[in-house]
Formats: sequence, C-alpha cells, structure tokens
Amino acid sequence: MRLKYALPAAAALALATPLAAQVEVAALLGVTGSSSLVNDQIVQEIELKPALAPTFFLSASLPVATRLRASLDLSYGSSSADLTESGNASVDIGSIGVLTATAALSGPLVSRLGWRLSLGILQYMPSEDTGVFRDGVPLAALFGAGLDWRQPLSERWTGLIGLRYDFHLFTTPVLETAGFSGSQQVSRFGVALGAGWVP
Amino acid sequence: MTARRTLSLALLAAAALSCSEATAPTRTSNYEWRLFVDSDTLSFHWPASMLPVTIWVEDSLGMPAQVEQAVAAWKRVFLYGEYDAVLVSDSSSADIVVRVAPAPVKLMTTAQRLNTVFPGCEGATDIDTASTRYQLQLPVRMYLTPRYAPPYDLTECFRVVARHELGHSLGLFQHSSDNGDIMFPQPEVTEFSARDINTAQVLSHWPANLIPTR
Repeated sequence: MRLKYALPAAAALALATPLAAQVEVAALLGVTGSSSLVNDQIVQEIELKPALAPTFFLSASLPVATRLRASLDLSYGSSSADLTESGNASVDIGSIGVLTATAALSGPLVSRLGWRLSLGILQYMPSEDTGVFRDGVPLAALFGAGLDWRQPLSERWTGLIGLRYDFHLFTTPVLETAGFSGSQQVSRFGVALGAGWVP
Repeated sequence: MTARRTLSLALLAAAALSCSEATAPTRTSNYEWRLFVDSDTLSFHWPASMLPVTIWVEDSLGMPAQVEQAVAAWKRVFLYGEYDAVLVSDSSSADIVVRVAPAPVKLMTTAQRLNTVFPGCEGATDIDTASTRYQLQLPVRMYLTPRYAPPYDLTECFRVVARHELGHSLGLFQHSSDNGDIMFPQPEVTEFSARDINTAQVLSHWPANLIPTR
C-alpha cells in the first residue's frame, strides 16, 4: 500500500528536484512612468496622466531551451492620476493602481545584459469610481519588452537591474459614451532594482 | 525559437496593437451660460479647492433624496471630477441652501433670479453677484415648491426641477432657448440633452471671473 504512493512520490521528487534547481524567483522595486491616458480638448487642452508610480515586480522563471527562459511576471504600482490643463498646474484627481500579469521569454544578449519580451494583461484600479473611471476600466492586452542586467552575488543570488517598456490601449465605457473614438495608445517605462534567487 | 524570431513576433504584436488612435469628441453644441450684468460677462464654476460643494436641503416632501439624485446625475456629466457635492446638516455653513418653499420677494438688488416652471412644481435660484460683480455671494439659494397640494405625485416633477435648479448652482446662469434641454425655463424633457452636457463641461473649464465669497 505504501509502495503505491511512494513510487509516484519519488518519481515526482526526482523530476522536481532538478527543475526546482533551475527555477529563479526574482523581486524588483522601481518606478514606472506612463504616457497620457486621455487627451481631450474642452476650452483648453486636457491631459490625464498617472504620475511616476513606485512599482513592485515579481517573477518566476525556468529554462525552456538553450539560452531561453520562460517566466510568469506580476507587477503592481500606484500613483496619483494628474489632470493638466494648458497653462495650469496639474490637479490630483485620486490615485490609480496598475496591476499587470504577463508571460515572458528572456535570454542573454551580451555579457551580463539580457533581453525579455512579454505578453499579458493590465488592469487599472482607480481609488474612486468617478469621472472617466466611473463605470470601470476593462482589462487591456499588454505587450512588453525589457533589458536586465544580471550581477551574480553568490551561488543562489543574483543582483538585477531591469529596464521595462510596455504598451497597451486605454479606453473606458465612460469615454466611449462621451464620444471618444478609438483607444489611447499608452506607453509605460520602468526602471527597477532587485534580486533573483534560485532555491 | 531564436531570439530574432521572438523579437519579430513581438514587433508584429506591437504593430497590431498600435493601429488605433483615440479622438476626443467635439463639444461645439452648447448654449450661452454666462451671466450678463450691464456690460459685464460673468462666468463661474466651483473651484477644485471647494469640492465637494456643501448643500443643505430642507427635509420636506422627500427633497433631500431628490437633490441627492440630482447631484449624482450632474456628477455623471463630468469626465474629470470637476464637480462633487454632499448634503450637510448645518445650513449656516452650506454653499447652497435649498428651501422647500416659494421663493420670497426678491430683496437683494444684486441677485439675479432664475425661475423654472414644470407641471406640478416650480423652482427658483438666486445668483447674487454682490455689488462687486466679481464675487458670488454664498450661499446660493434655491427654492423648490409644489404647485398642487398632495396627493398629487410630485416625484418626477421634483426630480426634473431639482436637476434644473442644481444646474444653475453649477454655473449655468442662463436658460437654454431649446425645449429639448433640461435648462429650458419650462423643461419638457426629464434627462440631460447633449447640449446640457456639453455646456456644463465647457463652463467647468472656462476661466471663471466670479469668486465665491461669504
């Protein structure tokens, strides 16, 4: 009876041990800047744009081919949403969180520099359901690219500096109802510092 | 998969995502909202520093609920949080005072009174620009009153007139000349028209030359 469970468990362990040894978990902290979410014209030019957002990145990766790793990444950042009118100081109209979940491929480029490309989803999470966010914000498809600088610190630890770029389209039901056609192209740039750990 | 192939696929995905561009709507359809006093053209909207606007409503004929609904309806007109208001229990510090009573004889020589008549009820709002003409004297005073005694159902009537009068307190200091707008002096519609919405949005970004004061 015991053998019935012991064998599959041993087999799973035998497979999992080398796999676990190759998994890397990385955490980075940085800032993300964004282009405008809305450009409008009411008497004057109006721009709605998130301020620089402190952002936390979490990633788990494993090798899938020679010089190629696949990863699942999460990031979350939060900042104020600033409304700027031509010639006037910006007005903070509440905070907005941004959560992303992506699948990425990465590999070495030159020396300790590596590339990464990702596809996933992005969700805006405004603090208040008012204005353009009143009726919610739909999930957006996200395309991302980045560079990682890897500095080995020990057998299990690696220092990481990451540069991130991603792109998505932004619209909301309120904007569509108000007569906005199409979606706003939004680019985000981030820089982060952290570490990777191999269990 | 080579890095070059991966990069090519990524660039294709980016190109597919970037093939649209948002275009803002035009807001050319609106009506005159500014107050003309002699040769002065006066424009007002609540400054961001005064939001939320405080409103005291006399607790009669279910008016607090009607005004609360009107506030919610006007908030939905704006895209960037330009307007917010809350009901308060102390009339002495409120920015807007709503009485469920006929408008009294106008004593303030500096006030403009905007009257509204709807079947079943009526309203009035006094816009007092003080003697300086660059100040809006607070509180803005609104009057809502039934024209018929209960049991006449005034719910719909008060809903429309509350929206109309609250529109005046936002800065819509004139009536529309189009009976399709809720700011027409004898409203024939129960919802905001595109012109009502455009006008409110434009006024909220128009440089204001009336400063609220007490």
